[in-house]
Amino acid sequence: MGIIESILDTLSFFYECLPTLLDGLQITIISSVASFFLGLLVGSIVAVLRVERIKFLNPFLTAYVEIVRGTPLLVQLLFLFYGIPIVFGLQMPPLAVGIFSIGLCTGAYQSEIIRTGIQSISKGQIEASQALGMTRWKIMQFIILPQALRIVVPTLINEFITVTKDTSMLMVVSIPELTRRGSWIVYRTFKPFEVFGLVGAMYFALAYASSRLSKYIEKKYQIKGLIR
Amino acid sequence: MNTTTKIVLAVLITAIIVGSTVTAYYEVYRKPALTGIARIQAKGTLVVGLDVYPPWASQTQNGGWEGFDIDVMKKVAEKIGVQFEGKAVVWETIIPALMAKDIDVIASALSITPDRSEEVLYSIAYYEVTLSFVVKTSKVAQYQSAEDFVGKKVGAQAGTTGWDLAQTLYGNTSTEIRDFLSIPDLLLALDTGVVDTGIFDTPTARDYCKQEPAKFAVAFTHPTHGYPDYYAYAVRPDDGELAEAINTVIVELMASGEMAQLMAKWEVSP
Repeated sequence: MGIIESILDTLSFFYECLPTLLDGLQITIISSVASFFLGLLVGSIVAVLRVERIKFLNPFLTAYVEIVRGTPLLVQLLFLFYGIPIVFGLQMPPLAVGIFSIGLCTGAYQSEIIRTGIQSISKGQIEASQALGMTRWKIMQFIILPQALRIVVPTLINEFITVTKDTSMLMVVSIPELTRRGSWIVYRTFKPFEVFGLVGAMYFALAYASSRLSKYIEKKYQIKGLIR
Repeated sequence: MNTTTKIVLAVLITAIIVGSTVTAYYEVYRKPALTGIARIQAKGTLVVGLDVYPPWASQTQNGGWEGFDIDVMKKVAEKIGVQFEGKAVVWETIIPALMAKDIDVIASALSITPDRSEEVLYSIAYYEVTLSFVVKTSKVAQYQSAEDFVGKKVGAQAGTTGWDLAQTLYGNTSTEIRDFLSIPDLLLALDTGVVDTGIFDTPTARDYCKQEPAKFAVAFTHPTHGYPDYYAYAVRPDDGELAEAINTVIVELMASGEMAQLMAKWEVSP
């Protein structure tokens, strides 16, 4: 009966870990969702502006996207976390800085995703809309964006899952998210295999739920009869 | 069944037969596993798990190690007749690393705690220690005791006695307790104002404050818990011989006065 006993022991150990880990999961979810939507807002605006090729903005927007994509998120996080108080004298709560930093990062990636979606709408539709007399912004608002956003939902959810995993980096700026709480338990119990196994399973559950959500959103918002 | 399946099955069966034979042979004829000091001597090195924590352990320019604990461990290695090898280990996995035989001994200002005693075999205690509250030098006059931090932000490293004290004093109160991955991270946070104080071991606090007197100062010290806090070295419970060797070295150093010299050298004299 040794194996059954150890399985039951491990399960009851998992049960004891849950309160601490669920606290961490709460922070992970909050920071993932907040960062992602900040990124969605920033990304959409940047994508639309870049597609419209607004002369004086383009270099700045391109610089933003290239710099963020070309540097590690960890570096960006540390840079903002320690830089903002030093340069601006502002004391922001660590979680706010964390969400801001990850939000800016995912915003750059999301802007590229959305830009690709926008550019995938066939020129035929744009020409037809122009023939009907629609302005650039009306075309963007009623023709392009509704289609583009639906097309990129799977890729955006993929980015959301990436953001969820990236939030584990917040531990370096004193935010007790899920992974760090796992470490706290390991300090007390010295069982890294079981604890990080459970932590990994929790991240996986989050990612799996997100991809199911993706399928649901795709189905719900699909444009019936749309031929591309 | 077709040819491919026959070939695959043949390969599989051969692999199983060969594998079992080799394992059986190995079991019967292999040399018996060495234990205790003999195992370390066969290896030729004493692998010492270290976390950066001056003046007990810190890294030199060329990647070597120096510190009080390094000096003691080098003497232990000498006594057993092997080489000293320092291995950097992240603090949270230092005990699991010991259990996994990644390292032979933990030597980095490791306090004796009931939790850890259940997992490791401690050597005799070699140093009594308290915790210090480190603050920015400009604010040192404002803080005289632990109550002065009510409603403020304190920092500590999770998994250390400093963290435990922070939880005991301020857990579930209006004081925010922030967790940092290492002491240098904690001091950086103190410097940029993310926390108002950092709580960690006194000798290390004094060392960092001595390195940066303009930035950091010790506001006051505080006992770790109701009973004295001691440092000791830790080995696996089945490594009694190694623990004995370490104890012998510690006792010899104390008897000959070398322990006091080492403490003076690393400026940790009580």
